[in-house]
Amino acid sequence: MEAILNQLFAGVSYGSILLLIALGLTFTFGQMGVINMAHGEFIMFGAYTTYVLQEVLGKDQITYAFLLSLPIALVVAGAMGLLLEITLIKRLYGRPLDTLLVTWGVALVLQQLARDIFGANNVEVVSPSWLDGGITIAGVDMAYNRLFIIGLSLAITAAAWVVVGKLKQGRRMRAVMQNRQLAGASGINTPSVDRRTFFLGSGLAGVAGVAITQLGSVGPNLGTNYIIDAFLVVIVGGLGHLRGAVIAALSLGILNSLAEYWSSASLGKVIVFLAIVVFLQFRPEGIVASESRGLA
Amino acid sequence: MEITGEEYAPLGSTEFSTIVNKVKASDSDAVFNTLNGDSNVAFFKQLDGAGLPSSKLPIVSVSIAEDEVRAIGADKVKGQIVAWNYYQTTPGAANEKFVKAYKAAYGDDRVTDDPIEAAYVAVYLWAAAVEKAGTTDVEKVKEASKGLEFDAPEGKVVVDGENQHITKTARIGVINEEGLIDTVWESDGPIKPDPFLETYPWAKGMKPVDG
Repeated sequence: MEAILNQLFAGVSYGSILLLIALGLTFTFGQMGVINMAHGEFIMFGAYTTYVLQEVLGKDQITYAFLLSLPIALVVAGAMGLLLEITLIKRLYGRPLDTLLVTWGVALVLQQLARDIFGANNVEVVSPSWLDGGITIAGVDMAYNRLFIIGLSLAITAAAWVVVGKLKQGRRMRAVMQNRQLAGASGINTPSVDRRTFFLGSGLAGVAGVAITQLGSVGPNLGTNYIIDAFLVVIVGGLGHLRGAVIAALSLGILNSLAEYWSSASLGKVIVFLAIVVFLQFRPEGIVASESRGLA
Repeated sequence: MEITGEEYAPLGSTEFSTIVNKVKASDSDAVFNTLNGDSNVAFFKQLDGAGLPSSKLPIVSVSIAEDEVRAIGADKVKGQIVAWNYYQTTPGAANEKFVKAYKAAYGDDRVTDDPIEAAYVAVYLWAAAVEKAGTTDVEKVKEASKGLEFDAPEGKVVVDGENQHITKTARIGVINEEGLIDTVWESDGPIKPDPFLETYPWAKGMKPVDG
């Protein structure tokens, strides 16, 4: 029983990471329909932002460096996304295959850029001392860094929900997503909305990168480890739906850790992929579906 | 010795909470770890998060050298055991010179390790073989390399005439607080290479695949 509870916690924790890396993609891919292969590299640069701040502020200011890197990574990755939108993606709307190839090329360029700036090897990001260790409740070991990531992804999902559901900006985003021409005819500056959406989606990837520094390696290949999972969450959840992304991320996380527990790490992944293939056969539009100008 | 479990993760995997849970549940005394690259960073960070430092669970790793320790953080892997042929701390004049030259070229905060040393040695061995052969023709260089000796940072190495591998000293080390590795055991001198497992009794029944 204890083992199952431990696995459930591992699943929720993995699900929250999936949610964090996929959240930005629900905006850029889900809502705008842009297949941005460089999304993983925005995650990577978010992680490197943490490293740079740690080096600049010194290792005795880890807590500040880490907390400060959350908003700064949002701006850094967001700005990179904005630049990408203005220079390339703007010219490629409605051409998904070209977008895929172009952004993949950009991803390779960004990886090499990271290699040139920071070196090919992984760099160490020191965890703040309050994230080291963990507590045990009812036999379940909960590492503080895992709890922090669960909390962070909850907070950011809530914030994203407020932006999309309650604010004027979000209303415009949804309007453009549902009917671009009509939104434009109603006086919404659609290119400006596109740019803001892309800034937000890319910025969220940067925040995810900051969180990931507490779990894994920080190196030029960081993004490639997460990009596939991020797309899977968005597709399974239903394009552009926050609620769908939350359900999909948690289900995939829990399914993955249970399947892995009863088989092995490699077989667990196979089981998850198979489950996704079967699921999409019966429900290609994902968990939550609605009409959109997306790819589905 | 009883083996309590065996787990494989996809190459590049960074999610180890399940494997860590399994290790914890199995109550094993030690772990033999063959993970490579990025996965090691994630594995040790997550072990640390689960409250399993080296004092509770010793781990023998075969792909963590000084440079990987830098990325993981020495405090998360101190006391863990590794196996290589060379460490930055390996004594000898050849190594002192190598470490000094390396740091002068790449910076004081950088470290040398076994793969770095192996690449360095390989270039010198090739150069010596070319000089001896008087040409860069592959077959002639191969012939000339037989029995070549080089005073490497890890100690004297000799190219084996039969299989072109080199004799190497085996060293077991423990990672210290500074992120360097202290040798705790080493073989009596360099070991003759046996890439085809000819001297291992357990490999007797194995035959090379034809062709």
